[in-house]
Amino acid sequence: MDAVLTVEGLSVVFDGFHALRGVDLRVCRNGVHALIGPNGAGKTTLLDAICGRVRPAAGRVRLDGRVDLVRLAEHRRARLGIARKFQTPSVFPQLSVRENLELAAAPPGLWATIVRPLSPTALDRIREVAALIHLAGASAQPAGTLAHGQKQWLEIGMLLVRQPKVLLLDEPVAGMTGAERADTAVRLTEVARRATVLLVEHDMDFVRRVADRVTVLHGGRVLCEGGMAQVAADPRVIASYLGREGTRHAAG
Amino acid sequence: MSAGIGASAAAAEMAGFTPQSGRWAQAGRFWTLLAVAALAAAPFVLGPFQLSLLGQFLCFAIAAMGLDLLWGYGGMLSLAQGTFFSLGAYAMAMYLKLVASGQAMPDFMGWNGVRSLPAFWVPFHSFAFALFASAAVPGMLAGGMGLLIFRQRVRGVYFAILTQAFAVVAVTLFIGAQGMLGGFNGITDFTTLFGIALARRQGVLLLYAASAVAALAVCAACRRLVGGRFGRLLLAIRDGESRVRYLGYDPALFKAFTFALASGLAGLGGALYVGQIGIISPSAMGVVPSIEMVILVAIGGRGTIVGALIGALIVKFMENGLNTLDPAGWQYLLGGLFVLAVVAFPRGIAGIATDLLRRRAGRRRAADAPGEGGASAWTRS
Repeated sequence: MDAVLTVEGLSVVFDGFHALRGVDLRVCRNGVHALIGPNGAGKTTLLDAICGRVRPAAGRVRLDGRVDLVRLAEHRRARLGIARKFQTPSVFPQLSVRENLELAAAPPGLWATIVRPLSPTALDRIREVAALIHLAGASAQPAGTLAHGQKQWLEIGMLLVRQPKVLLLDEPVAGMTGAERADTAVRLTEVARRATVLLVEHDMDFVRRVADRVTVLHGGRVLCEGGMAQVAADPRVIASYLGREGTRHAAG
Repeated sequence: MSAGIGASAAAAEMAGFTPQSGRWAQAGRFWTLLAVAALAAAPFVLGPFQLSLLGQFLCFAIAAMGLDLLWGYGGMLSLAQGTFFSLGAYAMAMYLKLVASGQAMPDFMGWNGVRSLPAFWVPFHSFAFALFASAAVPGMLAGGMGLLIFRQRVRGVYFAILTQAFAVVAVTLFIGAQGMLGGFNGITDFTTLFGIALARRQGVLLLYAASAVAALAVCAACRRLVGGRFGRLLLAIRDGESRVRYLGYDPALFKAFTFALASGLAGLGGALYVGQIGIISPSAMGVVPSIEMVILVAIGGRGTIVGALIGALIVKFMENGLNTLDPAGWQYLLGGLFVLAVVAFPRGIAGIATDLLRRRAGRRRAADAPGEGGASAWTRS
């Protein structure tokens, strides 16, 4: 299958602590790939290393099988199509919903920011994404006044207007109610049609609903990989992470 | 959901934003007209001394508006804007000094044993070059320094300390440059500009007019800049620099550009200032004049541009009035005003004025159209 993102032998060390120990990962185009594992397994660190937030000690991250991202600064990776959503919503609270989306959709150069108005296609993208994230009616509202779930979706919207290749989501349903989780699962499949999604999540029900493929991390290494049912049946995964309850969820 | 964001923005405007922003724009136009009229009428009302003071204060206002871009919008507190102001003043002083010396080597160089005009003085025979250099030298210095500092992700108080160190270094270097730049005494004894005697009424009028036009132009340009995407991006960088990075922007580039722009404007202010005051020396370069510029912006109100302009004029006129009575007392009062502005009126004079205007307009609106809320259109316009 066609891999949009390839991670080869990635290692990350924080002050002697080995957060990632030679991780290999292939993320296939157009789908939802989930990273699961116990706390401290290195899931978020892997997202951080892909988007440039942390520098790996060794290894490569390739986009479309060609470009090695590891040497590039964060904003360069973002321009190439890596979009990162953090766990806590980080929108610009003083700006309106529309202004948030405009900043995201605009070409990021200095000169363009000063003089060039937004292109009609960018405006179209903003309009379309605003509808997708159910915020079309709130365009003039300051983002700081939105509800938690709305902020999360605004941030995803800000990434989508940039038409990314890969969308990295860190615990997208943390802090959401059951109904919001179900709704997010439905909408995430819509998002996955526009960009490949790589997400970290602890909610196994949610992962089972959305993920096409699951990678289990443990102690900075890949423990196993496959479909959710396959992974949940793996004895090593049950021992280290899911336990009996996880098996039941995955099977049911 | 097919309504789209544009349509809903229009709907939101119809639901209450238009009357506010319309009236706001009207009020804005009224105040702009008033300010232009006042500056145009000043030469007919004020004597030469007062007019020259107003001209000088407008130069500080130009630097203050630049600092507002940097600090009020970008959240970068520079304690070197007085230094950049002085660099601009030195550039223009070099031109004026050459004019006063009949294009020969300035007198102070001879006293210090310099035999012939140093090479870096030669281009300053040209007024155009001097004016260009007055903005370009501070701008390029700040831009280069900014790139180095911001690429290293140095922020907040550490940036302020670095700029302060720069100010100290600049003062030391200029005091040491006895033969090249007049050392501790600086450069003085200017006579004419374009053949017009600077001390006469005509000269005062010329420099006042240049300062007033420049101040208004800078104000309009800065307002336009912050009204667009660039201004919103500055706010975004201030509030969430890493978020901006993951949207593909390089924050270091934008911050360095803003630092360069603010410092170029400070230099322009200095260039217009030096002919009116008649001297520039390292004493105007240090940390204290730079902190005073911060105070001008804080009292005027951060993040409005107009506040910096008004604050600079008000504080400078107060300083002038009180300095003649009790020079030491002024320092205490200025410090007190700064503390008051920070503690009690963080939005400064501009904030207080906006609140008053809004309350009045709110009363009027309540009279003709009850039941309208939504102050959001007011806060940013």
